[in-house]
Amino acid sequence: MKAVGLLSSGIDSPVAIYLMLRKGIEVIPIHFRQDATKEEKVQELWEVLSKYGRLHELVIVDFAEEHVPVFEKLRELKKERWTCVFCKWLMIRKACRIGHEVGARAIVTGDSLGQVASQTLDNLLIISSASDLPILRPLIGMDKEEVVSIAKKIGTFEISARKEPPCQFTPKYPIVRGSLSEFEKIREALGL
Amino acid sequence: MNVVIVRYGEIGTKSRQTRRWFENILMNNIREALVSEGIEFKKVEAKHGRILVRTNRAKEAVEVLTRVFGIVSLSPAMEVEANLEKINKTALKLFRRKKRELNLEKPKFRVTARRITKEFPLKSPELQAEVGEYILENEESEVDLHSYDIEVGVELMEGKAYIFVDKIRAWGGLPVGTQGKVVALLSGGVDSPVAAFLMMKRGVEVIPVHIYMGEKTLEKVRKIWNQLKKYHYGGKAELIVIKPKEREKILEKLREMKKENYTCVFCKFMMVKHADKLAKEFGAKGLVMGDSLGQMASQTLENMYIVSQASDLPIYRPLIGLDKEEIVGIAKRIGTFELSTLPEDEIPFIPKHPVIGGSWEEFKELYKAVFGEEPKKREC
Repeated sequence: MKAVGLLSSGIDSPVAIYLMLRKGIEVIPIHFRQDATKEEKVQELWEVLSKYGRLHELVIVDFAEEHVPVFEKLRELKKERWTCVFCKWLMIRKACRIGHEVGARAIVTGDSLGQVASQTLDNLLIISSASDLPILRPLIGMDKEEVVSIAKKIGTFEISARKEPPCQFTPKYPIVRGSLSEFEKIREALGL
Repeated sequence: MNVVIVRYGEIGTKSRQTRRWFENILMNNIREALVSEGIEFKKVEAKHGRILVRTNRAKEAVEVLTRVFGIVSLSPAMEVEANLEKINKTALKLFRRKKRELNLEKPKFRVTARRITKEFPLKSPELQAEVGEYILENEESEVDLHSYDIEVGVELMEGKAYIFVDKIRAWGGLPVGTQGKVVALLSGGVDSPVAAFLMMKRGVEVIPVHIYMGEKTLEKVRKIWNQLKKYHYGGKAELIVIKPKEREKILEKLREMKKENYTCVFCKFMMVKHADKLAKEFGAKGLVMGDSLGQMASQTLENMYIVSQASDLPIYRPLIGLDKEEIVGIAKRIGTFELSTLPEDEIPFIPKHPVIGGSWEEFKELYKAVFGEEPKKREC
């Protein structure tokens, strides 16, 4: 059984992929390239994770491809607050499309609830609408502490915790509880 | 003991406004927990990043409050005037009690003091030395800061001292009601209650739905929900039972087409469809299922794909990355395991060979044959 997995340089997504590898799922990891530091971390995370199961070659999608143009348009529309929601929505849509190409039947993400202000059921609802593939979120019921302790045990924590440049697109006040109808309006305005 | 000190974790890291909102929900859930369990208390108040529960039944209160999410640890404590003599005497009394409880001749101990507000004249290390000295003088014991049998805690704030010798760990998580609502499908098995529990732990209010199979199973699910409610103080939902009307029609059609192997996939699809409808009525923002992988041959990503199309809401599957052992471990700890093993109604229509890698195209045809229309599907 195959799934695509979103892999960032953070603490959560490597743990999510590890948990699915452990269950015998074949994972095709997808990284959205932002900068060289993060990409290097992701390469190292890949090395570690590949020890735990059938992890395919890393698929790298450039941020400039779909994300950056959308972020620019959001700025024009004065809807920068929606940047993070659209960012994740675009990631899921792309992962879903890649998933269909490679015969995957699900998407694995490191989503959790309430660890940062924008991880809400409302935002997850919007983001999930980008995919017909089921989204598996093995960390959804865990506290940060539990995730960190798994990351330490499997050897990804040290890599993930290393310094990296902050995301240059993050707005000052990201939308916390996005409404689906407003999202749909903006999406139409963006021609997505 | 006349007070319980409640410590919470993740809430402390939020902005001030969010934090106050979280604290209020947590305090409300604490009150509801104590009222539901019939434990009298005088007051619940937030002070300097902790919550104080004033009650003379501190020990029983602690037992109940370990089941309130958002709480990291609890200490039944004595509140006294913050003067050295009172602190020493109280500390010694609690130390003796703990020593007897542990049945130790010469326990190793340490004193940990914290001035939450700074009006007390001695600094924390000085106070620790004073209290430690007093205990050493009066009771057979020795100080060991690193490996100790007893830790005497002293917290000072606003002219009062809080002294305790126990720190009981709770579940952590977030207070129920801080993260919105989801609908949880409860089946009577081991998995689905654990899935609902884990979502509650992350602060979600759960609306439990059971799709009716028979009286015995329903009785069992009621017991399971009553147990889960002990982790859901502050949540309002009661068990909702749905009797599916279309079941006979589906079974008959599948039999006619000799596609009984799709029975389970169809059955789950319909469950999700019912849950989806209900979620929209209640303003819930997702569904929770106890799906895990590979416990049974039919638990495949292919079948999960089909079932997922029954709702456009996100479906949360907190057990998806866990092993059976881990799931059973949690079920035992929260008291649902035993209930899940109670007898249930036999399901007469389970096929001998359920489909393993179900195909959407095939399912679509079956659905059309039963309902006369194509099922909806998302795209990407």
